[in-house]
Amino acid sequence: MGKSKSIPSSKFKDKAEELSANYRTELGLQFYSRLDAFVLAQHLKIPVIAISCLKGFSKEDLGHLLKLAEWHALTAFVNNVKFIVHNDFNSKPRQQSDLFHELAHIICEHPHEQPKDYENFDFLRSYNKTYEKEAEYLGAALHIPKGGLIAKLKYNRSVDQISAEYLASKQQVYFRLHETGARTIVSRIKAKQLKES
Amino acid sequence: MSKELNTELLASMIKSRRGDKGLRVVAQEIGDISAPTLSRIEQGKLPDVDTFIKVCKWLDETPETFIIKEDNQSLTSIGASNRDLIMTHLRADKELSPDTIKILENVIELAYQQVVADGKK
Repeated sequence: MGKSKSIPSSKFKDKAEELSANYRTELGLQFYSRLDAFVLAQHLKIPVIAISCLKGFSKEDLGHLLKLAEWHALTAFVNNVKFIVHNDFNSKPRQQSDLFHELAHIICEHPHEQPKDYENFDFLRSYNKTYEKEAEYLGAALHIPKGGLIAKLKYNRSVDQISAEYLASKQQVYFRLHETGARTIVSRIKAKQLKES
Repeated sequence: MSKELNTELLASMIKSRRGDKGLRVVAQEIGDISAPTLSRIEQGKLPDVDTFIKVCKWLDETPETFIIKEDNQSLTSIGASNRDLIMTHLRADKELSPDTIKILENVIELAYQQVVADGKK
């Protein structure tokens, strides 16, 4: 039996880490700095609209969306115009995570057309597992850079502190710790430093 | 012609076919869907395309059984039918109610108008 392919691939993950570092450089930030998702959206020239600021949206419909708490953000592509609408009633860490996820779809250039086999069902959403996994990984990498995570662990920052510094949920921090192997990397660095001292 | 999914019919046929069997057992029979997802579809939420096709196969029904076609197609102010609005990526629980989807289509239209208007300033 062959080994199952990991989604996303190692190549994609390396690229995601590189992109996270590169965008920080482009914006004049340090590799370990917090990158604000709204600033990145502006840098990428992607309009972002908060649902509370949507002109002409009825209070009743807004109430419906908020009450059910089903929806966080969407990316739409209409007449060659790409934009993001997000739920700004969510917590700030949640908003950051949602926006990074949507921006990740755009950066990855995930196609917006319905797959050919499903053209007759264009009124239903198509959930592409690979694209979602890629956006999940890249979004998280943009939010919490690998280099920054390692640096903060070296300085013994706790998960709570890292979460606050990156305006991320603890869940997001744990996800990044697991995906990057940052704790193992730092343990090895510290062990090596101890041996050499 | 616009199309919608008859979620009521889909839900009732699933419940009827499932009978006394547990959600988890039936979800496994359908394949690659979770019990909570199946429960939400039974409550009338819209499945994504892949899940819908799998459920139809399990029910031994064609997808067309559950599609409602409407002749009157409303044009949005964008100049396109509602179905031409491409809702690219939606970060949400996978299954949304048809009412929520309609509201989100309105969100897209309003947001598009706002983006275009802001771009002209």
